[in-house]
Amino acid sequence: MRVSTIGLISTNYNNESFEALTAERTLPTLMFGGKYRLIDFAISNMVNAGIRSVGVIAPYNFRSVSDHIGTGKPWGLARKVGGLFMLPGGVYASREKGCRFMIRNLVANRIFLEKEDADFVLMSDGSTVMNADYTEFIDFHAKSGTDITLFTKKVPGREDGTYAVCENGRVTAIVGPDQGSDVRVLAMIVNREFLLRLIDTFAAMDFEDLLNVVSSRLSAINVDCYEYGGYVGIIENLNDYMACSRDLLDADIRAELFDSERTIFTKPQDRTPTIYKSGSHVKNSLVAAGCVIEGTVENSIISRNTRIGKGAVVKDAVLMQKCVVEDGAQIRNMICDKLVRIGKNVRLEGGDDKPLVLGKETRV
Amino acid sequence: MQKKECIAMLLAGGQGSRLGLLTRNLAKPAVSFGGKYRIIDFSLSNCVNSGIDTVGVLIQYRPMVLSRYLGTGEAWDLDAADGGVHVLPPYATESGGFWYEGTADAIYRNMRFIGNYDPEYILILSGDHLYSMDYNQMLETHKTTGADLTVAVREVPWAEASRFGIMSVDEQDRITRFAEKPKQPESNLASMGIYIFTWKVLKDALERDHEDPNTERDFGKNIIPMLLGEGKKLQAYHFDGFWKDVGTVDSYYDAQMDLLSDHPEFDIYHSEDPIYSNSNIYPAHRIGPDAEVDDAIICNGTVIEGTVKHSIIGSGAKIGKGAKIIDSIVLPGAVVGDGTVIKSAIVNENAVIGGGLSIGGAEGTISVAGSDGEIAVFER
Repeated sequence: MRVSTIGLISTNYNNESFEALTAERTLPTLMFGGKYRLIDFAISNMVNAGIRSVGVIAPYNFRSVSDHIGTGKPWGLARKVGGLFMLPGGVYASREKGCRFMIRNLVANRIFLEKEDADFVLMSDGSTVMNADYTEFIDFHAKSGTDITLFTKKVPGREDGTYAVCENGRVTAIVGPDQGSDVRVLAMIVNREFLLRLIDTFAAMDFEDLLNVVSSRLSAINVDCYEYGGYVGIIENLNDYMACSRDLLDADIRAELFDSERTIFTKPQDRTPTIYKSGSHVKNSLVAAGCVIEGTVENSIISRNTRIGKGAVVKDAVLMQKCVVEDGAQIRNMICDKLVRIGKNVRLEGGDDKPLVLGKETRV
Repeated sequence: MQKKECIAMLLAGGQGSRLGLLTRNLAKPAVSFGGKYRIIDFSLSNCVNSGIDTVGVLIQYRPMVLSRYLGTGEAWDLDAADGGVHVLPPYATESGGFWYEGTADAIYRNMRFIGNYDPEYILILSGDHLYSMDYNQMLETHKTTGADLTVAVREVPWAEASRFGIMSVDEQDRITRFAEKPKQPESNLASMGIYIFTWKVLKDALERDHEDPNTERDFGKNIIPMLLGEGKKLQAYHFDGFWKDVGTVDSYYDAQMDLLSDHPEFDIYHSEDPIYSNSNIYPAHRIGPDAEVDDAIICNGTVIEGTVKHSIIGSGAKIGKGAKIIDSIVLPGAVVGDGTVIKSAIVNENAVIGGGLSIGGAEGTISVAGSDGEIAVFER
């Protein structure tokens, strides 16, 4: 049996835990790993599973999403058949955490689901960091013949998100955190025709989340559970962002995410290679292209076109693109959005429990 | 098809035999440069930055890497609906198949391609030179002087003049004499192998050259002398920016190591016009906890666990724990095993160098290392 799957990625959700970092962008377009945006993982995972038609439900302020993904060309999604579809999301963004699809956003984009003639719809949020083999997940769902399969990962100790209670692979409840399960829902696959019926039935509950609706009808809907074994970076707040960035410094996690046969694609930029001047001192860090490094960098992620001056010291920091750390400046436990400039000999330090965030174009 | 004022034809079929194993499997324009580029990027980027959106790329020697690299031309914004990059290999006809016999022959055999665009002018380029140039200025000179052919020239040291096509010019920069690799040069103005022809004039010259059994079908040896002899107006266009033909392992090594200096001659870092390239999407590079990197150029996708000093590490290369790379160039995709020491050497693209070896470093030499222990040593 030839199965066909289309993808649906939600970017229409709010998260105010990121201070200045999400003031002008939605969480999925937050920069990550020196050159990526979070949504690169969601789109790449779908494309790497052979999905050739991907809808992205955009936030009301979709500038950053549109700027980054454009026609989908970097993912091979600028196509005659299928391709990338930017779908309108409502003004009111979801506040759910996890795999988030408001019924009203699905109703508004029913045509996309109708017209792409596929068996399944693979749905995910746009901000989870993982390099998942969805091919296996799709096969798993196809074989089971169930209505919905949830893509889950055991993540203990979190206070946000949506979780599944599973018994023998069957989902018996869908709950919030601290309600008896740490099996977090990251994505799901739904039979397309079933999904169409579901949104028609529940069209009136338009501000409700799809998973909440499913949760209330588990006696009538067959929902299975698929447990993912790979690395997952959940990013719901600044500490998550720092922790997940730090994970990238682990050689194995970096290799799992980026040295896989499944490439994580992103919008290409033509930057020169990075130059390390004499006297630079860099340890345990990721550095993107176009940087000039003259100072010290440790345990940090340095995005493209950043300049670290002579005698400057950057530790445990994430610097987004085009930052400048001038000569002699010292920073630690920081997240700097793009175009931040740290002046000569300035010293700044965030807490070990919470990084200090400098918004776009801040000068200190 | 829309008429174009000027289209470019890029000669990219050369082997570059003096680069040894670096060009064993790919043509010289496809050779890696500066860690993330291939040599052809510079002339292609010049085209795009000069507003030339139609480029025919003439391939012949080992074209696989090159044509795959060019793809649709998308990486250079040359996937234009009307124009763009066109890869033009030699082809068979009803009277048989032919290799491109010379630079002029390669253009002759693609006259139908050029004719589609009905251009006024045609820009002939080499795909294996390093430089950054605005071809528009040269085209303006060509138009204002009403020349039939404009040749980009530069002054070279007198001692080297006999390696080039040498021009003599009058006060108006009109070319009065041309000598291909003269033993006794009477000028030090060298042709850079960049020509703008008025297409009618070139077309006519190519047709006549094709009928002549006694020519090498070469621009420098045949077409230019022919036009000069007929009293056509040949103009010199002076270019004094950086320009280099990296024909030897020596010059290839030196031109790249110069990128490490504080003020590189070929300043790719401060160029106002971007240099485009078709690099794979690689993640940010990793500098491991025990790595040491000093005075180096490091590209995306590399993993450095050892020591890198005064060296260039190309995209996606891996340098193992305890390995030392000194005064060397590791080309993209190469893997240097743990503990291996590499000095004054070039590690070929995708070469896998086992652990614990010691390569290069003998006084006055550059070593080129390939996979499976293959090493060629070049005296400087």
